[in-house]
Amino acid sequence: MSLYRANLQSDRVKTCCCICGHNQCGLEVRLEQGTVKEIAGDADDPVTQGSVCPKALASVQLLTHPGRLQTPLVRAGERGGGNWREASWDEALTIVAGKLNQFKSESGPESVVMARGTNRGSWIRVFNRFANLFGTPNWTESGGAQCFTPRSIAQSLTFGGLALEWPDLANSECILVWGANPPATWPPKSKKLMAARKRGAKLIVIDPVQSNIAAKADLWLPVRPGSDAALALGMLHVIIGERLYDREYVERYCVGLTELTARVPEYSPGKVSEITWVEERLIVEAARLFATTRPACIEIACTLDEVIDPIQLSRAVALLACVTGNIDVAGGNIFPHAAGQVSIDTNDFILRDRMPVELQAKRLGADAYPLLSKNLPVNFPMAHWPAILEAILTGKPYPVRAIFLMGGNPALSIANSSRAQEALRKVEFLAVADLFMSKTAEMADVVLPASSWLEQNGLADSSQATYGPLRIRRKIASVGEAVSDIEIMARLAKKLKLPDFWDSEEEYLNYIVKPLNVTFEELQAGGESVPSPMIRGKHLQEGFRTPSRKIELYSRRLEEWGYDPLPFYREPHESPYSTPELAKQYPFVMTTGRRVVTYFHTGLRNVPALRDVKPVPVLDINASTARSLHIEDGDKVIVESPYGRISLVARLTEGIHPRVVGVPHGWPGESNDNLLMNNEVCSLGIGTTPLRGTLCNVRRAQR
Amino acid sequence: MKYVMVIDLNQCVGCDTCTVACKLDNQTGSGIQWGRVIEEESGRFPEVKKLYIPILCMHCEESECLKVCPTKATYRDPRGLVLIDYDKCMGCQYCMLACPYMARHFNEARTPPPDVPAGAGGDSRKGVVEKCDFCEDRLSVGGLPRCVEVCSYDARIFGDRDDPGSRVAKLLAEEKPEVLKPEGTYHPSVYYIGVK
Repeated sequence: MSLYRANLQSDRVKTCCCICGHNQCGLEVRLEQGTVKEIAGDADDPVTQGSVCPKALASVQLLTHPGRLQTPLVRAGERGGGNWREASWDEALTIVAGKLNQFKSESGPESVVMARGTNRGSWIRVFNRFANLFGTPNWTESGGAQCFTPRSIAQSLTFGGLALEWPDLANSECILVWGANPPATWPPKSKKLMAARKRGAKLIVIDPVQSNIAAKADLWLPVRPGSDAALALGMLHVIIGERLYDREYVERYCVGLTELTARVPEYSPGKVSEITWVEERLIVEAARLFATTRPACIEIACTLDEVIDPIQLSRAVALLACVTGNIDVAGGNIFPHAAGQVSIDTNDFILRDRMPVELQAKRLGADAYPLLSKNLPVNFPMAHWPAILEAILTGKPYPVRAIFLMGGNPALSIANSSRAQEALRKVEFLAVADLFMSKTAEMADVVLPASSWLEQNGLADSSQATYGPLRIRRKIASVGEAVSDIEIMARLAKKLKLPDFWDSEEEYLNYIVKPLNVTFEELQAGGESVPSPMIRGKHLQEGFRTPSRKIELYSRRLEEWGYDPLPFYREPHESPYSTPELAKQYPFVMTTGRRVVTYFHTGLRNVPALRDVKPVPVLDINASTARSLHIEDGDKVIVESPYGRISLVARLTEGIHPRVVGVPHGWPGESNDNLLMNNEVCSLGIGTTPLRGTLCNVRRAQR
Repeated sequence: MKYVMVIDLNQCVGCDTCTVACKLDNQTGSGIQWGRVIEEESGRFPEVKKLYIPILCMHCEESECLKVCPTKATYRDPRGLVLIDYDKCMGCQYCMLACPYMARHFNEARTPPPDVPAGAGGDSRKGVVEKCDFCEDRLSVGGLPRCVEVCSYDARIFGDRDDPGSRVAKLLAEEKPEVLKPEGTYHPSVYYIGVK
């Protein structure tokens, strides 16, 4: 079977992955007789330095996978009936453009939702711009309120940039990993972290489950899911109370220490221990170790985004780095600088302000969740998924008639999947771009075949992907008529006659690299990457991009917007303490969303080499607890919440608190964790569905 | 010449990149992993230690598998590798019972989950016993075993024990790595740093 052809002469090609969207690791692809033989790390890549993960290696199986979409498909028969006919790109896009324009003229552009999930490349903001040009205020992400947005707002408010995303691991002496598991999610960071540890850097890990990285920690703090903010405030209590903070740094570069000092007494280690279920001595020890080992850095992840008060939690964790003088210093948390290309991560690029104010006001969720959905200096505004579902199902505040979806699978990935699936079935028109016929694509009217990283040209230029060097993706193979997401947008933009978009992927890439005075083709032919300056201490000298030009321990902006200017902790909306009656019926606290190295969200379970290694959805449960419930390792178990029940396979471990369980995410059908989730309670201002720290019960399934 | 592998458990994070690389390289079928990573826990929450331990054919000097093979399909090559001549193997699986490390696998048709295509499954080895061969084809052209090549953490070090300048020779001398099941007399060629 020869579904693809190699396009290059050399048998070793350097390129950039994007199987997980964010890392974009530089890799070497080895060809043999015109086909991709194998994939390896690239030691010369300036960012990833040779690291490689299972997802990248197994991508070779994406090229010959019989499930890959080869051509555009148009529904033949009932929605969801499984009958399709092949269509040309021209016909399929004519249908999509016709429908989107029809709804736009009949019901206004706000009746069309444009949503994204995974970014297979650096195109989040490109799609954001596409939606703004079409004129809909209802652009959104499956992540959005659940991932990156809350913590990036918190960081922008605090120090005007994304320093927490960039621990300077190579130069650090103490690394605090908070709710992240880099071996599973950030292999390049993990490689640097493990190298730092080998040379003697200390490692502190906060995680309810003894993760890959927690297993390597000097101190592991198994926090009760959802109570992280109390832990961070408890550590601040110790650091400020014992005067372990960097007085000179705080005096020169920070504002608000007095107010913060007045806040932390509420969070004594003893009280925090009761809240978080972490031993008091560990809280004190971790705080002291972090504050007294210099330089120290913090590595975080979307755990910080998925609690009831995500901005407060992210701020609390960020302040640990601020008061200890570790922001914008070598070995601390630093600010990435680009290589000089057009930055896509700006509101200018997405043409945010071109949208009329009255349309912006119609953005679904804008009233309830202004931090997510209103134009603010610290966000990329987007619609709120639960509000979109509500609009589809009830017609309120106005009907949503169409969804154009790229790289997402909301049928599984939105909390309260039953409701999400009901809405996806009900919406008048659904078009989906993906590699495979996903659960969401099955319900669509039109499905467009998107390409994997091996099949597209591109740039690794997202702020998450790189400290700065601009790296290049090379098209190596092709599968059927699949094209990159940017090419799909370019073709659809032409059909929609959108101004200020690009006619092709090539034209887009040339636009981005134009300030470097090269064409994309020249870049590909030339070097491996475009270097960027590594600047530390710039903001210490020139001021931070905050209203006060300083690090804002106390955030006046939050205060002006009506939120607490200082971090605080409150119990999750359901927990053993906030809903003790419910907890009698559902005695376990669960953490969901734990990443598994072989998968990315709902994707890749159909890739043979990956599925073989992680064949089943696994529930992490304390071994003693499990045995008291007559559950043995490998038993099928039922996990129930007040909202639904799912089926998983028990993994007995001592690496988890007896009253906590870890539920995997992204599995379909009866193992879909989002069936356990309610999306009615959302966090203040930002609209996050709390996914960490809700209640459940576990029992053995009938044998 | 004697090829050995030293695995540094301090560096292994259990990412399974080696497991997947091995599967892809050797085209092993559903449920068969020549190399894999097991987790070993000790202690009780919260005082619990966890090790990720990569397991593969240990290429023992005193090979139980070789001793029991009735067709001489399993043999030792001059570089110290324990290999299988798949044409000679008749699939009796005595070697699987004899192997103290459970590193051998019988290649029988197994059905993957319904949403996963069957793909390649070591078709040329159907009905016989298969296992890790230290990627002897790569060694023959000056390469490294695939699991060593793809490890991002320098957890696997491979080389010729008899070459005093090699990294493995130095590690064996300086780090005093241990073998799994030291109570046996198998003299495996895979050593571990950080077992305790």
